[in-house]
Amino acid sequence: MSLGEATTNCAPISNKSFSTSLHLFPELNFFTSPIAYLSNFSRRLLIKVLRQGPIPQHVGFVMDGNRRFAKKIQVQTGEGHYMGFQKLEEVLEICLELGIKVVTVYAFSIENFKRPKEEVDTLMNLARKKLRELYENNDVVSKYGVSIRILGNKTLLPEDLLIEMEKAEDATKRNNRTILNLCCPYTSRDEIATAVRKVVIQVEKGETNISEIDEKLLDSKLYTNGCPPLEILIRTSGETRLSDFLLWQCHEKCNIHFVNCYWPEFSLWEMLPIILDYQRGFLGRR
Amino acid sequence: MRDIKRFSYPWAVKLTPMIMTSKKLSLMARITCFWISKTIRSNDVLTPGKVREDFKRLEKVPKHLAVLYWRKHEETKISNNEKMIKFNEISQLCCWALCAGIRVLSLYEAKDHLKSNADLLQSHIEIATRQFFANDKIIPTTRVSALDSNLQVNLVSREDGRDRIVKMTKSLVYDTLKGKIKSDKIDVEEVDSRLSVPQFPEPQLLITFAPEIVLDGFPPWHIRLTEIL
Repeated sequence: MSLGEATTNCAPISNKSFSTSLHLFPELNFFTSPIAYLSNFSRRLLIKVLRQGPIPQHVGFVMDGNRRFAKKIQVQTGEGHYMGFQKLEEVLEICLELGIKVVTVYAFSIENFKRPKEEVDTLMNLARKKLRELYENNDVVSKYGVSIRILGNKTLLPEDLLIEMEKAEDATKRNNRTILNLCCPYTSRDEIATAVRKVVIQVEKGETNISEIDEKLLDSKLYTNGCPPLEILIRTSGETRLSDFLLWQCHEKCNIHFVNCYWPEFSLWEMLPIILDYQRGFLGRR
Repeated sequence: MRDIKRFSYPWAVKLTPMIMTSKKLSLMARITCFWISKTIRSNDVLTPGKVREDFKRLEKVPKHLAVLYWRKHEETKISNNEKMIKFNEISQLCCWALCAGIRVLSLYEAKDHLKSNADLLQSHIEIATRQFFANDKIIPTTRVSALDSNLQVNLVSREDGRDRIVKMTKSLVYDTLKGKIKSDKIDVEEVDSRLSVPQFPEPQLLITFAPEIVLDGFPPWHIRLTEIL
């Protein structure tokens, strides 16, 4: 049983909010639930140990494998996506505890619109619900000062979801310690093409000179401008493709990891060798 | 030059099982792969027949293979000896790729040591293929970046990555100012048509010779659906 699973198996904790710190849940002590207490304690200890070494500033996740996981445990795909969202909250908390400043997740691809309509609708409903939970009185968001940004070609989304997204971004605008980038709907080629178009329009209007066009200018026009460079990219479910995610950002010094488990099974245990690899390579890189 | 027939192909030994186990295979296929990787020892002499036989068991072979060379320290000058060793390796890789049925092979190295020696590399590869396929009736041809041949080798370096996208942006600006294209019509297809080169289609498989997967400047636009090992 991995460290993360032990805490989520105790029902009253995970459903309400996903913070498992001792301060918020006084009933979690050694005498009432010793195993949960010990695993939570060892998890926090492990995170504190990892924090002693260098920690990446920007990590990207491709949350792949929800449908296959649902098939594996024989539930509906909607349920798989729901578990995927819960896992996202959990992993987000792990990353913020570790000290990672920016987390970018691939929530929905432009290609995913081609999936059956019921699945797309389920995903949209789930997104609406979860977004509302995220920005309304959420413990982790306020504890770590998370600013939520939605990246992607928003013209393809339904109106009410757009309104929810704007509300989420507005509500967390003033937070500036950490950033959560939700890529929905997103394709890296679309991002690069949009950046190119913005640069061309800028030059057309006369705001920039042609000679000033370089990598940095294009970088600043991407959706992820303002974020530190991407240092780790993790894809779950064993697929070894990038699938149009952050192609421009990960093409230089970024460590790409393909993890062989489905997204709802991802936990601190899988994150550990990735962070250790990063720390080992850090000295060689700098 | 060493006698090619007595070479060992250690990287080919590693590559064949890597490609075999990268797809979702049935149990029988997995057992076959296991036995093949056990029977090829590093000191074995490889012949065209053996390589072709190995590849017959695969359901899918990539048409375009990209290979990434990775070096820990950025060196500006590479000694002659190292260059010769590298060219030998590349010639062996080309012979192996010819047997495997791979049509396009792209070799990426951040610093363009390969690009500046394209002619030398071409002659090396020709000598190597002549020796390797000495017993075959038809000797397949390789051309370093030209169209009509059995295997096409592309030499790619860092300037084909982001720099090329920047150059393409500048040319788009010129075209927009001249009125050839409207700026709000610039989308993914337009950028794709300008960036894709017929000699360099999207690679289906990218193999990195490095302890970790780091792209190190490989052209970002072309690898959206590439399997990376």
